[in-house]
Amino acid sequence: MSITTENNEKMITLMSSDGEEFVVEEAVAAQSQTIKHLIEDGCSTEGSIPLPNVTGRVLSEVIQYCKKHSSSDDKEEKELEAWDAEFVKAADDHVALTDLMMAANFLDIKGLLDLVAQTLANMITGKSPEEVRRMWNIKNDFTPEEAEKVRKENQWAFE
Amino acid sequence: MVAPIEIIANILSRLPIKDIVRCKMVCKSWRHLITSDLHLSMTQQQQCLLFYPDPTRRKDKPQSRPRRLYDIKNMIDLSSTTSTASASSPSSVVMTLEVGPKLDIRSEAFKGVVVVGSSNGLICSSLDRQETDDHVWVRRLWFRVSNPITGEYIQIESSMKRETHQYPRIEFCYSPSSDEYKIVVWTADSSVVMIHTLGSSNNLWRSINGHIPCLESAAYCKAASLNGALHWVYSVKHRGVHVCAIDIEEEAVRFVIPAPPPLRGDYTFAYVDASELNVSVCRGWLSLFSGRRRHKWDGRGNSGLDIWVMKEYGEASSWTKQHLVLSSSLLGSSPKLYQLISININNTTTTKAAIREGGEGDGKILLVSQRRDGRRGRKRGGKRGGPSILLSYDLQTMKTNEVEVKVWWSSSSLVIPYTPSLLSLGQVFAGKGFPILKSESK
Repeated sequence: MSITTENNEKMITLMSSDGEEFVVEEAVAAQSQTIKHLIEDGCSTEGSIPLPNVTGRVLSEVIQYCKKHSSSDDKEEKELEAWDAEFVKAADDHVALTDLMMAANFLDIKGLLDLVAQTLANMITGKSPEEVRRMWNIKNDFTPEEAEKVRKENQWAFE
Repeated sequence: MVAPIEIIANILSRLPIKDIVRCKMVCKSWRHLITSDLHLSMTQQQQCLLFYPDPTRRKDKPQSRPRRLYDIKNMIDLSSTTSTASASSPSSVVMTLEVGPKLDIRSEAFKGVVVVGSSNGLICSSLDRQETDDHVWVRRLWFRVSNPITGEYIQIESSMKRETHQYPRIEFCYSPSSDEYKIVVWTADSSVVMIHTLGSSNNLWRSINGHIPCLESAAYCKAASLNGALHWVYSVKHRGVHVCAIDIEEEAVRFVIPAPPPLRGDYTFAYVDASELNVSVCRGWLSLFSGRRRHKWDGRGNSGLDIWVMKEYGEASSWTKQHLVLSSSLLGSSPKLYQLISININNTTTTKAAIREGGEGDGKILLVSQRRDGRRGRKRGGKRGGPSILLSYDLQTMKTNEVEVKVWWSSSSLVIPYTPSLLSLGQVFAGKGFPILKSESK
């Protein structure tokens, strides 16, 4: 369902996987290439656009990002950078960031994807394999012998 | 929670190379991703520098100081330096890489290893091999191409003779149009340039088409690669300095053109030290500069360096002077570096290489400079002494910064840019008939 506001901005309704609805300006939603294509294909004319891969919590963050970045075309780049830094800081832990990144990937929002991926990369830098595993709750499926072999082959990286 | 593999690949591709390799240990699927994902291996655009000894300097000749040449090269990762906006206190990540197994020079025929160059993350080194040919000792050059990140290497036996008195100029290059790697050898005392394509018959060396004037000076500087050609700078007696371009794909001389006017003619040697000539690529232009006998000063303590850039490729008339003002920012903050500058005044600094241009937006040049402190030099028993320093010069702001280098290097170290890659030699040389060897770990 599309509504028009006073300043003639077309509104779009997005629905998260857990049924939460968000009404946003089309320009904001169209920062997502995925949604943009859906709008172009006429999916927005009847009811809301369902986003089965994104929860309401993550979607509200994504919309926050898109709003900021659609309203600040000519704003100082520095300010936007500072805002981005605060934004990922607020997301706080890597689990939330990974959720955010998956949403950005699905919704195809390049700026957000880059921002979050770089943040996560910075978090990994300098970490040991064990710490990385703990971060993502990854199971170590190497046998001790195999692990030793990988370590030996890449000894320089562990010094 | 398990993130999809494309998400992981995206994150990993942003890490410094050392961290990527370390992540192989996380789990099997990550290891598989890191060793097999072509996207991941190709998107490595991290700029690193490799330090290795200059083979032409007597002190560090392979036979006299083999220990230092034992395959281990120091690499610094500049990505942390160049990507951050606050370059006020740049620091660099140092890694020691091995370009292949160590050689025991006492028991083997090999007398030394010298790094030749790097292309697409592969490093080529030449092996100085002594063998008998009809009861006469001869030196031959063998080659080793390795990817120190994956630990793989291949060894190329060759019949290329090496004259003992002068070290040839050797380059390692990649021809994108034919997807081939080539080794180019310019013997210093003859006007012959030989080229070998990796994967062709081991002993097949073709001499390139076209005339190249005899070399007058044996200056050892790396060739600059641009537009599918290698560019050397060299001087010819009574004819001054020239730039010679050799087309890698065509295996022919593309052009030989004179240097800009100040470097032409008989006056050359009064003006430049031929051993300090350098050719490089600066902002996409072929550029030339030389350590000068007399440095120009602006009266405020700033030293200048002239770089000549060829604005229209292949046009001798298009040489344009670009003046770099060095050091003013360093002067204010660091008395220690002030000494460097004062050494500069006393005509004792050699600028060895303007290494890289960081793309359109960045516009930084690195300068390897050598401090020649007279006092210190004498103590060490030679005027060649003195520490080398690495400077980054910003073309926009005209500011100079010293890049901290935490590796041992000296006046006789050469520096080459190097982009690490996870590319497997098995993929690169598939079907070429090379046995892929693995470096043993320590």
